[in-house]
Amino acid sequence: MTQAERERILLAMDACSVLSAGLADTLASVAARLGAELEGLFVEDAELMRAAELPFVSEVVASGIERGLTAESLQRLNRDMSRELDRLLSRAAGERKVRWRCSTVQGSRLMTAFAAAEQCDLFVPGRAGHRRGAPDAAASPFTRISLVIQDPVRAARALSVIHALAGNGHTREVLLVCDRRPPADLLSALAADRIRTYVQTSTMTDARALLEQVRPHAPGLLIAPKTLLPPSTVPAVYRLLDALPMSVLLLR
Amino acid sequence: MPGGNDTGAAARKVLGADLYHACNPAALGFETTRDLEPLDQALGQDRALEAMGLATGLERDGYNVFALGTAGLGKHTVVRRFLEARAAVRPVPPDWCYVNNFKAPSRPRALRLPAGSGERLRADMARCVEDLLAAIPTIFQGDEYRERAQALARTFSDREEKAFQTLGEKAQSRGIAMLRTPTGYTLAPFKDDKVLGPREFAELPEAEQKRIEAVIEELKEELKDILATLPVWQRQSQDEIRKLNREMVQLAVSGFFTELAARYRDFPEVVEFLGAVHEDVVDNVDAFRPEGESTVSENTKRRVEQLPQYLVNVMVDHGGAEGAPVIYEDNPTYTNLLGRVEHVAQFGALSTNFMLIKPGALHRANGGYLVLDAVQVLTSPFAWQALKRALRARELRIESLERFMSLLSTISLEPEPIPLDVKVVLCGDRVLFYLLRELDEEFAMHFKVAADFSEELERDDGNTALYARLIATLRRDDDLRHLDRAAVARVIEHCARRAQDAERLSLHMGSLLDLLRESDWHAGEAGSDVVDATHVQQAIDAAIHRLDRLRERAHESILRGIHMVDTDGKQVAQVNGLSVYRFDDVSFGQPTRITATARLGSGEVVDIEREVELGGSLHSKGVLILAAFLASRYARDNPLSVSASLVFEQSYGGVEGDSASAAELCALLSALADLPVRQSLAITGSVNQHGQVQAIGGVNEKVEGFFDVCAARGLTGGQGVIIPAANVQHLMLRADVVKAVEDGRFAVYAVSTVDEAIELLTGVSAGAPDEQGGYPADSVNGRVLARVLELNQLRKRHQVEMHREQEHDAG
Repeated sequence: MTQAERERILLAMDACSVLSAGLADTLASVAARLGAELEGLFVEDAELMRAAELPFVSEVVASGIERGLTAESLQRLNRDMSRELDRLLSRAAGERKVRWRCSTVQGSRLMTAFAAAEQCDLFVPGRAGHRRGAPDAAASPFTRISLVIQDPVRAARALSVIHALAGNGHTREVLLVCDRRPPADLLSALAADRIRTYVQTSTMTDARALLEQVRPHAPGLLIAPKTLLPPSTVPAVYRLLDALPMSVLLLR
Repeated sequence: MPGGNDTGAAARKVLGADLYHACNPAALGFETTRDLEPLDQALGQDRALEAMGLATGLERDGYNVFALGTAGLGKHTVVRRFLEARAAVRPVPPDWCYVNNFKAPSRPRALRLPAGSGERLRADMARCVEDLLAAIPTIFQGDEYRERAQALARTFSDREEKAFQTLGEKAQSRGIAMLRTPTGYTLAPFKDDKVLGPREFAELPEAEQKRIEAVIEELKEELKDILATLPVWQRQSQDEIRKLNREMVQLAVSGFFTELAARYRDFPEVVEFLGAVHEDVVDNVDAFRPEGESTVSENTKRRVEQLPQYLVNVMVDHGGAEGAPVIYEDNPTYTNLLGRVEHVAQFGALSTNFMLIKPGALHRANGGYLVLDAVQVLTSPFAWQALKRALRARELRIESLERFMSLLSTISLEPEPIPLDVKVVLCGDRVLFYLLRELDEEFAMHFKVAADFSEELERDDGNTALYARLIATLRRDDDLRHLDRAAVARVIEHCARRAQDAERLSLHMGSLLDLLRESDWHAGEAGSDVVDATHVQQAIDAAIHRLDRLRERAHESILRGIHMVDTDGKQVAQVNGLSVYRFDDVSFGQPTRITATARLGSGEVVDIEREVELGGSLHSKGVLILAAFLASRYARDNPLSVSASLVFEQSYGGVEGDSASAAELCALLSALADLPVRQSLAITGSVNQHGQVQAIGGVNEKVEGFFDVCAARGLTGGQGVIIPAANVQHLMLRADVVKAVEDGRFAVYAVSTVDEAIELLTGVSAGAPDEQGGYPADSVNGRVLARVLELNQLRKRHQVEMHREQEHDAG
């Protein structure tokens, strides 16, 4: 397989994301099974950096305590997390002999990450883990999977990803969200992997409504086609996806 | 004549049946043991059985038994058979279980259940937990639960989202962006969807800057309020989830417990336990939710074991038992008696739970009988104290010895005590029994009944017949060949010899069984289907031979002249005494030269053995009696001016007992009378102050010991042994000795007085006293008296000379 043919799996992180060796391992496994390349992208949030440069700005942490927020400390944190992402991917990919790379860019946290997602086959945005109320999406994201199916081709691709996850013994149940009866071969394949399957129908026209539909299934992993994100609604949907209390994996 | 001197009465030559009380096979009345009915009773132990009957029949505190008698008597067998017979007609005691005490886990509860029900409850609870492990996860995987749980989670999540969203929108409307930081949130001014940098902010009018800062401060306080409220919401959410879990689990599991409670409705304690389990399961439902995806049965079983708090530890299971238990604990350590709480190491720390409580012998014997070896109990640290405490308190309390000794500081358990109702039978020897009676005040309180086992049985016709049946019974129980009547007769004779008494039979079952087994082996070697007298004799001879090395060495030492013993000729003040050497189960007799010296003195007899601390107290007593005898017979009206010394020549070990006092007295008389003693004779017996010869032990070995030396040197017909007349009844001599006596080549003489003995030894009349207390001048006594008087005169003369010298020195 040439580099041009090889699929790319992109994991985008920022300073607010939870770095997890388990996530890196799982994505490296999926990459190995799909013969894909694993790519890490660390986004240094430019807006947050600007805010940190303001003299009167402080941070209110999850416990409610207020403390200073400085550009230096933020830069240091960005540097540390970028290295950690590099280290985790290096180890996970190295163990599975998967090609990988890692880069750091500055920009808007969401826009930069989702822009990069345009160029990859599988996109996994990092999850923030500090909010107490939100289920810890990054800790065990693959036990339950919500799979949005738009067409049989993407369903097959999604199935191969699920199969890769199930091969690691993670996935136990799948919620299929589709606008019609799901393909029989998909159902039988999930059953063969001893995965319990639920089906919900959706009109598939409104991304916001669709996300609300899978939201009760949190925590877990949402696998959805990138086409779920029509260009005109991108920023809004990005924010919806970011606020979703579950991990997200977008498929080309 | 004081002292009952019956001088003139001749020593009796022991002949014929007096040398060996044979058992006549023809009189036994059977051909082989096949013709004999087994013996159901414990032969000769009526006294002990009567005591056992009292102890087991009297249901009062302290009526426990100490079965006393020497090792090998068969105490354990008799006790066990007796107790098993009693136990068979007693009710089967209840089962005892330990279960978790949910209110105080360190104090497990004891449950009493009818026999067999403990195991049933254990299985029921294990099954129940297994069912719960299967049922509870299903509840949580069900759509109903999923929807309700997700709804609750969503409620909380929505509430939180809404709070942040509202604040975010409020901030946005006032030109402030709420940004996520790695560990929280920050607020910063923005314009045209872009956060203002320091330079842009500085370009704002000062009033605007102040407004922004004020707004940010205000929003920050609101943000803090939201963050402070989150834990409250989360707790509320968790409470709701918990409530939901309880509700769902309650519905799902109550059926299991209702069914179990109905099954055990007659046992309120079990029902109470089931209620506690039910409540705990509902409160701790997470324990039943699997962490991983596994449904294989092995995993379920392992998971059942991981939930011990709901299981049942059956301490005592009497299911299938008939009657009360009879338990023999051969290693009665503290923990083996009382039970123990075991620990398991987990990550370097020791932990325990009630499932690790292990029963002791007292648990197993509760409601029945416990047989213990007294020495084992007494030599096991703390076992004796623990046993007494349990009997006193009438309850079984498992206490960690390690904790008591401060050897271990891990968390341990205090299991609820179990009521104790047991009869304990201690088996031990007599010395131990009397020591305990003497030294342990509590002993008599807890062991009121002594079952004293007889060592021997009177040898009459009736008992001989019963003994034959005992032999037949042992043969049957040990699956040995049948014995013909001659073999039985030989065994009976050997048992009489073992009893050291021709008129008694040894009840030492261990030795008897050994003899039967070894005779059987010899019969097998000879290809015989039946054990005959030859095989028995072979077994006896082989047993002697196996342990005969020491005797042979001693015998050889005499024959080589290393150990000096004359068996012919005559010597003054030198007598062949006889000793018995005992090493464990081996005993043999050996002659020892005893010599005496007499000189002027003040009446003391020096026991050289005692002077060098080789003589025991009994031996010393015998020697002191000699001094008393000499004084009373020869110096009744005068001081005894004789000093004498006695010694066991070439004796380098200890000397104990007074069985050589007759020999010592004869040596002393020989020395005083200056009469030589026949070295072809040996003498054994103790004497009293009046010169009477008294019975001693080991007479057969002593006679045989001297016979062997004489036989090796050549029997002359003049050799023999003088024994106390009272010992004739004990004679069961070897066949070769009996034959030699019958042929006139050896002799056994029975004497009642020392005069009879000295006559035999010196060949001179002892001499009867006249009215003045004098003796014929040429008699032994006459010569002794003359010598004593001579020494008296010498002493007086010596004293006068001493007095003169003192006066001369003073003048």
